[in-house]
Amino acid sequence: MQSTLDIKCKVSYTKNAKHALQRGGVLKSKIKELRKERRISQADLAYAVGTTRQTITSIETGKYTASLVLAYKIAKYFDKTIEEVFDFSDVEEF
Amino acid sequence: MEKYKKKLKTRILFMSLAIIFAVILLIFNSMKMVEAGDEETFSSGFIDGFQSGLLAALVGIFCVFIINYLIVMKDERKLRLLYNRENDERRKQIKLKSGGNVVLINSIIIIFAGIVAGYFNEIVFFSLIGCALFQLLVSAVIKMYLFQTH
Repeated sequence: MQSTLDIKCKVSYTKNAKHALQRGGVLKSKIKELRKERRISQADLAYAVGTTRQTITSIETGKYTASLVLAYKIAKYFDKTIEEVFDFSDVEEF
Repeated sequence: MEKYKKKLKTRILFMSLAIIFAVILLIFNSMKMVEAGDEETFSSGFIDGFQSGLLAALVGIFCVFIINYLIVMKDERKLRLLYNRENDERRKQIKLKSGGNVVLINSIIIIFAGIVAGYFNEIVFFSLIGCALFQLLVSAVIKMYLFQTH
């Protein structure tokens, strides 16, 4: 039972992200708020998580849905879980 | 980052070899154009000019890349930024959606085939160059669109 739950947690981000993309492509995130709280620029965040400033902009505006790895890196950078950084409230349960 | 530095050094080596090859072809082409003189028709002159221009552009672009890589390799931050840019997942996705390396490699092969064919038949030359340019144009338009929407 435990292992089933583990698997569900691991795939939940990708499945939710996929759902969001299929439904019109917007997966909200709290990256902008978290950045402003800590006074970090997009460029600094991008440099730290190994991506480009443009990608951070796209994620913040909801144009692009980050991969599981990138989402994890961003969440880890802010010392938060993926669910705390990315908002899945609009995403239907599967 | 050391692995990436090695990768850049390999790229510099290949680009240097390509520059040498292109310069040799350029010299050969220039000699051919001078020898032909007034006997050359408009279309054969155009083909020679196109070949020379393309080779000169290739040399120029590769020189810019080599200089850029040499500058980047001296600065850790710039190296990391270039690495991030090249390995950015969004860019990779857009590149894939717009045809990726396949379009680029195909176009390069077609252009080189066109240049070689240009020495024998001008219709084949124009067809191949046109095909390659159209392919590149379509890929570039799709890329620009995806950069705006993704």
